[in-house]
Amino acid sequence: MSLNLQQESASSARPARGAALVTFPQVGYASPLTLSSRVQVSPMNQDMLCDLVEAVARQRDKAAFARLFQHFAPRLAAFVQRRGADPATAQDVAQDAMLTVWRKAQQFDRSRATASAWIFAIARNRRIDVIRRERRPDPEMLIFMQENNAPSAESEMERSAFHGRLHASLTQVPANQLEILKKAYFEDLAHSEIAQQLGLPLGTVKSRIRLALIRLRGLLDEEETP
Amino acid sequence: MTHHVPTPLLFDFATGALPEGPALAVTTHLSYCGECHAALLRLEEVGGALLQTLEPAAVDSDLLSHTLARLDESDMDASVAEPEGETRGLLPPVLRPYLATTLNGARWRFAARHVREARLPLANTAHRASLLRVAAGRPVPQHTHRGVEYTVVLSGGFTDRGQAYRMGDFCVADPSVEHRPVAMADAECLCLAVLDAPVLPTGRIGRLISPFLR
Repeated sequence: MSLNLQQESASSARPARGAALVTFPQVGYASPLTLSSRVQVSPMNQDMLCDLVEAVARQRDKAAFARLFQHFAPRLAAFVQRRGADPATAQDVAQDAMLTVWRKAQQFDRSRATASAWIFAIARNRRIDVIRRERRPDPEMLIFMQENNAPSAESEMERSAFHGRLHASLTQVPANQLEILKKAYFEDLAHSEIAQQLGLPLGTVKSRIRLALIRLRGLLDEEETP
Repeated sequence: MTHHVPTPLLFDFATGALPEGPALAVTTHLSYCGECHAALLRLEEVGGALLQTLEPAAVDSDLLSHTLARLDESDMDASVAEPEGETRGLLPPVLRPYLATTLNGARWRFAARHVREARLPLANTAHRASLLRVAAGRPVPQHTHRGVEYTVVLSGGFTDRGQAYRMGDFCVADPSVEHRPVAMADAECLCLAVLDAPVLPTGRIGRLISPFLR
């Protein structure tokens, strides 16, 4: 499957501001930047992954854990390698993250996150801990005195629609925006570091990320100021 | 809550790129703000979706069996001892690991007249994180910044450049900002401050000491 660059409906196809879309046309067809269709997980499969985490939480189900492990550990190892870790370290971090999944499964709440997103956050924190020697709070530590607790107010159907849309719309993010998203998420580079690495003005990086998030509908309100 | 984490900063937190100090300011704000927390969860969904697109890496064939063998030993999650009294009520859980003692038991030093500071030990020393207590109705002496300063209100509040900051509010100041925040009159203001460079006092009167003049 090749990257789908077709424009969406008129409402989301506003022209980009500034230089956001004018540079690096060549990356549009570079194979590493296209999404591999065979590893796409449909919302149904995401539901299954959530079921598996819940089985681990409620029944301490080791078979369910093994299935999660087989799905995620190789991806987490790839994820950590993208940050520059050697394969052995990447494997250690992947294992560590999966052990965290086992320990923290009770804290997983499918009304707030998909299994992939929850495990992404765990792996991100483990990666920071192991590679940068810094700590990040576990997700449940954020619960304190929150006003406007939005996630739980969403219905199951809305969430499911959101995730379906997110996965589908990832294939529609233009290559030069997707490249930056991947640099950010996989290599943990900040806006300014990405700008430096790609030789782009900071404003261009900001606007490409913004446009990508707008395209992943529901993530960022178009009216919101950057 | 009226002052939120700017979206690019929240994005850099979601991807893991933000250093420890600013990350602590972000998670402190999230502890009070369900709206920004929901935005973070959406950004983490992007991470989850991207994770699914990665070509799986080769892992050792016995990694699963080794991991399964370790499940029982890692079954119990050590819970952090709950702090007592005042600390429990005022400090969000994300800050508690940085404070070995209760809020009152921390080492408070005067950073300026009416301003007391307790350092929070960061592993990444590129930033300096502190709890600040500003006496009710009193100002932090006028200053500008050599770098970026993030402030999150934990209790009480302050006014700055015509804006009111209350519990959970997130304030960013950089070298373009010269200010003199004033604690609200009704209560002492407790906040988290994260800096990447010492601030620069500019006022005629108040003399700032640590963390501002080092």
